[in-house]
Amino acid sequence: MSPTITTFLFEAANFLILAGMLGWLFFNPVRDAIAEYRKKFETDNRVAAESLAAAEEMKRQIELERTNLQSELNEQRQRDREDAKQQIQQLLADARAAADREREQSHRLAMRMSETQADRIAEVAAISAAESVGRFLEEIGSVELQSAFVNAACQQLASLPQGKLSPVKVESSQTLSSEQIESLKTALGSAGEDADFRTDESLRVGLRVSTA
Amino acid sequence: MNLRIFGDPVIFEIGPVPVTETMVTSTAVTIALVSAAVLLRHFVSRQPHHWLAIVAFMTVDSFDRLVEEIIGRRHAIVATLAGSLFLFIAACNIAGQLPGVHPATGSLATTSALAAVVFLSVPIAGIWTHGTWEYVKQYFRPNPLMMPLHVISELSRTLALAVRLFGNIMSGHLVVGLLVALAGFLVPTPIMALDLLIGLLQAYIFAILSTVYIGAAISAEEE
Repeated sequence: MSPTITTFLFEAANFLILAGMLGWLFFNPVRDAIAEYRKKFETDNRVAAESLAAAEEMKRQIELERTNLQSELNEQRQRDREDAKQQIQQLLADARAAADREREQSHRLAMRMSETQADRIAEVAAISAAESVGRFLEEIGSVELQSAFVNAACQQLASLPQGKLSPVKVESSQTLSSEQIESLKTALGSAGEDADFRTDESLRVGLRVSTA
Repeated sequence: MNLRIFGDPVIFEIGPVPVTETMVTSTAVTIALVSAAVLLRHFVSRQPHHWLAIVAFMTVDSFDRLVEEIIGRRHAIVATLAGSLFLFIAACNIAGQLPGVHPATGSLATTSALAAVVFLSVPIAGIWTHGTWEYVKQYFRPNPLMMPLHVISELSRTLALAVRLFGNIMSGHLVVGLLVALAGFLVPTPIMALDLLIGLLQAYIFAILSTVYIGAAISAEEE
């Protein structure tokens, strides 16, 4: 057999065997490994894409929720602001009402104080007038004036209904004379017998007859 | 160094079958490639992050992408055939750089055998893809008169495949051998580097052209 033909046939067979063995031992396993890795990468990519989509969805929901919360917060703020305004207005109204009431009370108190002071002034004025009159009467006081008072009292007592005057108390600024006492007893009638005659210097002048 | 252009020395005979130097060299290259394939497969399956496994991934994926670019889709058988052609031719050319080793691709019988494999693969792929009648009809397009030209074209490109590879490798090896014989061992080093580059380039060209021929048969109907 020719060496050239033998070599030709051997090389052809050798290469076919080599190609088959390389395909069996090298290309196919490596190709399968590459496909497996590619599948794994695709799976990882798909999982990553799904995770990314889920994250995007979650982010979108969070954004939506945040927006809703923000709007609710703004509404709540608006409501609180309006409530605060109403409370402020209410407080102002209450304060105004309280101020008005206080002012009214102060006004009334002032009025009462003015009235009290007026009464006091009137009392003081009356006292002063009484003192002035008393001093005047003391200055002008005399037996005749005392007698005039006794006579006036007798006339008034005589005009009163008899029998209903007892007990009678007669107070005078000066000690009454027996004649004056007798005149008063006469004027008092039956009540004059039990009458109590006293001297009260605080009267300053005149006399005071107390009956029933 | 024995320089020869044609004819392989018979080393020994097994019965009536002579065993030539090219047969021994190609057998050794085949054993080395299968051993490397087993080693790479081990790394791919056991240590996928090892750099050898990454080399295996890149090699297979490169051929798959090459076939995809030429044919238009991935084709495992064509990629395996193209990858095996490239690896075998490149390994034979690299082995030819070793002292005393005659590259198997420097023999016209080897390159003719590889070209014959490609020549037979083209109709097999065409018939496998389109069916016998559809494939045969391609020889009569666009005109039945073109059929002889189609046949001549296929024969001539097969012949061109074989002679191109043989001529480049044989000439490079011959030049290096002559330089070694005339000028010593260190002088032909640049030529050896160039010869190595040419060997890898011719392996790539052979694989590319084979893929183009087979891809044309596969995708002829689609075109």
